[in-house]
Amino acid sequence: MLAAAIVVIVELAVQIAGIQSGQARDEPAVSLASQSMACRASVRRSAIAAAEGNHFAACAECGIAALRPASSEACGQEERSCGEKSTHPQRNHRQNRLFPKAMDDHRTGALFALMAMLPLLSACEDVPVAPHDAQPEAIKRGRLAAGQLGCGACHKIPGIWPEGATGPDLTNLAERGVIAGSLPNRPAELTAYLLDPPATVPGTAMPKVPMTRQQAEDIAAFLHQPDAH
Amino acid sequence: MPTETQLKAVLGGWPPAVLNPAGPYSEPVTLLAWALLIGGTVVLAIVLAALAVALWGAPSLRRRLGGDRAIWIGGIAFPVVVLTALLVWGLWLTGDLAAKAPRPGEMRVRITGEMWWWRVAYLDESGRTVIRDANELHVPVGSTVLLELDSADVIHSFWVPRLAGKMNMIPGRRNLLRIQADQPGTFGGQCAEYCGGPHALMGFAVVAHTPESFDRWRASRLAARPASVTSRGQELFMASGCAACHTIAGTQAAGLAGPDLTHVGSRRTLGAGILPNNRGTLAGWIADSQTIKPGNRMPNYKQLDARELNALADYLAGLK
Repeated sequence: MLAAAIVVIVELAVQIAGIQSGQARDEPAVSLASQSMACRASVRRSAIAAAEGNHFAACAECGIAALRPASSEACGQEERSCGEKSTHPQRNHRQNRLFPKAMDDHRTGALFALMAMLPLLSACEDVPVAPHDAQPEAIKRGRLAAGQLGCGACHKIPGIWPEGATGPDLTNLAERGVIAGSLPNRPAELTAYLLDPPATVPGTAMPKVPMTRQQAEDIAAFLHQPDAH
Repeated sequence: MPTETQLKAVLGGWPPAVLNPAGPYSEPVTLLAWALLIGGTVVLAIVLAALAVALWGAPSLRRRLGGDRAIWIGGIAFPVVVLTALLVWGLWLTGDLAAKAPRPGEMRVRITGEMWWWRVAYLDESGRTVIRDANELHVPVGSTVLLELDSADVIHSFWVPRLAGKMNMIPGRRNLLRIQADQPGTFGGQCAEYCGGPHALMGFAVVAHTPESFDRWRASRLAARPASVTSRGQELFMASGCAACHTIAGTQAAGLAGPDLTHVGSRRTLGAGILPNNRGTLAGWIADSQTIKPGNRMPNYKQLDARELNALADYLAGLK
């Protein structure tokens, strides 16, 4: 119901913005964008973006809503950074069609302000930023690994004993902007940090805890899950 | 549940399974426990059935239930016979399992309950300590091991459910307990007598090796530690006052108040059976053990900066 309404409104917005139909009706792109906006981006951030009148760009690949000038150059930059870890490179291609060079900044801003307001219109609950499109299995494995490695010795993590206080409280980690004081809160960065904290963030107190890449990815999925907290 | 099983593997079999014996000194205890549980259930069923008859039964049945015969049989003869049989069984079992003296050539280990951890000393035939350890006991599969249990402060109780029944650790007294593991594995234990503060966080692990693997383990522990290259972590260990309470063989650290750390890096658990042992948990424990195990006797070391904490954790994790 909600998804259908969003698709209709996005279609309308796309028409208003004057994107050529051959490009605009690329359904995967539209659905990706709307999915990203409605289900992954936080309502709070979207609302702030709309209220401040900023150009609002969404990266469909990683689902991170970011405040930045929505010029095609900036967008391309975002995509490049996403593309590095992308498992679906073709999405970048589709994404490009949403931001044709012909589109001027003003229209883009209006379009995204409108899109950003959509979740508010639909009485949607406050959905946290969940940059991790994790499988329940990965989350389950991650919870187990976090317990096995004793992450709770330093961190408060719901469902993990003990609730240490040496490191930061990791409750609602999915809603944080940055992790470890400096890294963007994305799965790839979190995984890399977990695997070797001192190498990723020099000077961090978190030691390199022996773990496999799979364990690190699973723990990142577990920490990023939005519904556990 | 597989997840619990895997967690148990990491935490040295903790929490221990109480009805899954792994040796000849726990099997009879488990059998008695099952007999009590099933017998008790049967008695409860009989009582409830009698109650139902008393409330709703036919008048003839109710008359019979209230008669002298029923009271003599159900109220006196049955309890006397059953309870006497259980008493005999229990006393016989206690006597049978009790260890009175070391057998010739038997491995002896002294385990001292401390608030809130376990001091472990492997003894030679004459009773002298040859290997010092803490919170973990290594045994060979298929051989009996005599444990000499005592306490340094209050009453604790040594309990590794899969290997033996409980045995109190009483200050000034040496209680003997014999155990034997019939399969390799890690068996969790837990202090079973409230001993104050973090009593619930006083865990233990018994690691049962195949005889060859046990011999290797023992030889590695008896071998003199080669003089180590002084590391930043070791310097910090000495400079931060850790050595006042902890011993690391081959260094100046010779404190006796806390667990011996000579081989701390090879232990299964940290904080007496409560945390997996790795660099991360070591750092967390050093920095803030009071949050993890409130009331334990190690102070928080909050004066260490991130690099120092890492160096110290690295050093300790490397003490295999």
